[in-house]
Amino acid sequence: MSDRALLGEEINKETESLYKKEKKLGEGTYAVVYLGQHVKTGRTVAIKKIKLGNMRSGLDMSAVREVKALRELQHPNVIELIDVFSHKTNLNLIVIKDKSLVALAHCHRSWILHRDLKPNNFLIASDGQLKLADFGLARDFGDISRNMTSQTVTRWYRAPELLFGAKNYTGAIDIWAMGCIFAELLLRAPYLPGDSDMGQLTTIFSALGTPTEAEWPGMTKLPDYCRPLNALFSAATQDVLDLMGQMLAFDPAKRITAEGALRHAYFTNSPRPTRPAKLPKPARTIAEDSEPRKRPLDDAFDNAEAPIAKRPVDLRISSPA
Amino acid sequence: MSILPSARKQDIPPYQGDDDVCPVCKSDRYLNHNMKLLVTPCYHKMCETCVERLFSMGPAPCPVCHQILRQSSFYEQIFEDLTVEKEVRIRKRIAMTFNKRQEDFKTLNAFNDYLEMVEDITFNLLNDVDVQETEEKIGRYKRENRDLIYKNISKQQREEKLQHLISEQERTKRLQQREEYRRQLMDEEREKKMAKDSVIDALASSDKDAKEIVQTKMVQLKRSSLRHRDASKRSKFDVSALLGDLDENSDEENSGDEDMEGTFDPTESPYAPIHISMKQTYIDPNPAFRHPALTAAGMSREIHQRYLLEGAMSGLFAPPL
Amino acid sequence: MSDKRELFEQSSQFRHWRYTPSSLSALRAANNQQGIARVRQSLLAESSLDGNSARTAEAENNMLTPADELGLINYYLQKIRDYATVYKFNSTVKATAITFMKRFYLHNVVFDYPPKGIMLACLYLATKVENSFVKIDDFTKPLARTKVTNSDVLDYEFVVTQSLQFDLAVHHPYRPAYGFFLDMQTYVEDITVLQKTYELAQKYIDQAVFTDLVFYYQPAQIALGAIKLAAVETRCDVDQYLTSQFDARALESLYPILDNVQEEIRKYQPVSMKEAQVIDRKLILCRNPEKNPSSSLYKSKNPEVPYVSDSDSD
Repeated sequence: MSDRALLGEEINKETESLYKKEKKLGEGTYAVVYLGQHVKTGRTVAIKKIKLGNMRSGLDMSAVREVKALRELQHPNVIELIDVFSHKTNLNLIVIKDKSLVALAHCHRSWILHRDLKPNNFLIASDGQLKLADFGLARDFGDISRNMTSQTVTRWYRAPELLFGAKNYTGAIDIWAMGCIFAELLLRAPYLPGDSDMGQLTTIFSALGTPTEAEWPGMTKLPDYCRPLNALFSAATQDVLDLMGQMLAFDPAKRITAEGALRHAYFTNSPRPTRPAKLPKPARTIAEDSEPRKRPLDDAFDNAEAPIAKRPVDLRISSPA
Repeated sequence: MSILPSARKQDIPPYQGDDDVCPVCKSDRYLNHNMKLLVTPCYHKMCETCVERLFSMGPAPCPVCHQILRQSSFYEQIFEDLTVEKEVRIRKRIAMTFNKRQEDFKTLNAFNDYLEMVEDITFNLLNDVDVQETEEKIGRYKRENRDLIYKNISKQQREEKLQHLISEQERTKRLQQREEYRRQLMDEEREKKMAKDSVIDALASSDKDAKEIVQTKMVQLKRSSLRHRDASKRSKFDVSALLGDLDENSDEENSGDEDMEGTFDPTESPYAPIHISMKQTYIDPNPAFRHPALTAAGMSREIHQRYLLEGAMSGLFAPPL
Repeated sequence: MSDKRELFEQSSQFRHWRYTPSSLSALRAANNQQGIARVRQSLLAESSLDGNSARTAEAENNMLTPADELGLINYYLQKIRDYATVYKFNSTVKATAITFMKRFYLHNVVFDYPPKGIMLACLYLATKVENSFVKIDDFTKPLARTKVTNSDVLDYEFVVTQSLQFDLAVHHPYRPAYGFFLDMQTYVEDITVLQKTYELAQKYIDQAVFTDLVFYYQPAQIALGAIKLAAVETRCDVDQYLTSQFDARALESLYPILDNVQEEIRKYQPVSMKEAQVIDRKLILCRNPEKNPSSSLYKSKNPEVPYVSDSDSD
């Protein structure tokens, strides 16, 4: 390396030369994912090519959010952004292809919200590790001086305070989404599929009952039918129901945090989720596939007591809704 | 005692030889039990009584070298050898003026040149060479470097205060640790005795198989000793510093597949927690919390204040590159 | 457990953007030298193109020194603050834009990219990064008088992001200062004194943002240094808070850092318009034609091409 720092463009070129693009893995509305290789080490990587400059206002906001968040988070269960380089009008993010709550706890500890949690955004790397991905809507929180958008998170996983137009919120919205995802794993179908923003509220209230002013100070009363959780989830154990109930608490101030959830009896009562290294590995590696591999989740949680849904998890890196 | 700064912490006992004889009045310790020999600025000795006799009316010439002296300029001898005494006094005096540090110089050479100059001055004063010229040099230096001298004096005072504080804190910490350890030992002893007693009681009172009883008791004991071990690990304890021969229990890495209470960190964070002590209430003129919508969305004063306090503690003691 | 890392160490600011005073000035000096060498080369190439060789001599007599470069950059940092005030952006946006520009010029030279153009790109990027997004038309509308166009801003947005190596999150002393304001309430009785100290400290932080302190120390350290400096005027006893709250051994290594922070803030001098104009005039003569869109060299190397959509063969 020369005795001066490389110029901005030179760094870019040098970084680009480190990677060799191979086959295409998948495609979304604003990004294409390729399989690639680090030229020197041979390490397999995924290259996410984001189309830039589609925005009239220059660099795409979600690209900005994603890059900003991923460059700041270093954790084994958060997808790692190793390198970024750009070529003409594209931005290429190098990423390596359990633990969802562990990853989320780390994000929240670092005062970053994910804001787009849904089953598609959890990837399983070839070593069995669960990785949280797609930070295109991520944002820092804690500073109350700026308003945030309430139009975030895919509707079915959107917390009630967002549906009520909250302008400044916390990690509780991610936890609500996680609660919905847990429920979905048990049901093998989306738990709260609303067909519109208003319909989403109705769906939530008919499933979980209407919150009272006492339960959730700051909310207005609505008369509605309250369906207890138990009837719907016959196969679930008490621990699961209790945890889900706490994750789907109406008042975000009363909603359990990621760390609290990790300490919940559901996770600490044996048997624990299997250590990732001991998980059965997929029969074929990513490199051998030309199509994204669908992989049943119960391969992963073989030893867990509670039955996990056999819903296939998409390995494609998706675009935010 | 004009020039010597007072030795605060350790008062060095003055040197008083057994065969001391006052050169002026020729009395010795046999005649005058409490005879104290004092030294002049011109490094001549005489006993306290002579000092009083000759100088209490005002300035008068030294009986040996006729230099004009005042009563206040006498001081107690610290070192047996008067030449050492002289050198120490001179160096102490010089150090109060010539107090530059290496960081005040751009290059190491410049610093070394400065040190050499100081040595030259010291040599001159010690050996009474060019005294007047040297004193002028000192005066000039003092005037030219007044600000820096003052700054470095405050730095030094602060460092001394800190050193004092450090040793204070360490002393109290050591005392506390010893107390804690002693208490722990006592608790363990008590428990062991209670356990033994309960085994005996159980054996005496129940009609179960003796082996069975002992076994259950052993399990209970093990569990409680595990609890103690964890408690002692959790209190930041450096017992080895006190005893020096404790074997190190390796921590979380060892959990393996066994269920060990208390060694499981659910968040599995590779990062150390940030310790903050929060007050019950802070005065925070920020008007944002007047709006109930903010708290209804889950953001509380506590969360916001924790966000701010963590910001203040992050990297506060990180050393620069 | 001492083998755990500290949370702040994961930030890109900590991992990629720390220097010592000597490594920083060495970097700027080396960049400057290389920049001058490139300018010479390009001038040669250009004069062989259009036969004008007088330009080369003029440039030689007006080459920017590292101090010149820094002076001009610092002047435009001040301009960022002025623009941010006009737009009513908050201090985080302003401080991020300033830090972006400072970082940009650790990997670039003024010869290639005059700060006037870079400044707006840094500000616009900062609005995106700090959740204060403004549509480009709304951004350039108030600047219509100065004839700034959308592309003037957007053309540089990308090279700025590249030069930052996509490290977009910047941590400033404002948040820790607020945290100290809360924490000190346990030890400082008089809340009005504390409040005055905090408000004055914020002004000192505004100054600190222009200095190289962001490359030497952590935001919390800069914040505390600013508070100590303010405390001198407001007569607030910060030392009592420090010795009561923190371990004395840790304070031992912290105090010199705080001294340096106060020193840097104290000796900060803004660059006057006159000084900047002098440097600007030199720059006109020694600017690198290779990167100057109005030079014949640039035009010969970058002919206008119709836009071609990307294919997978990229």
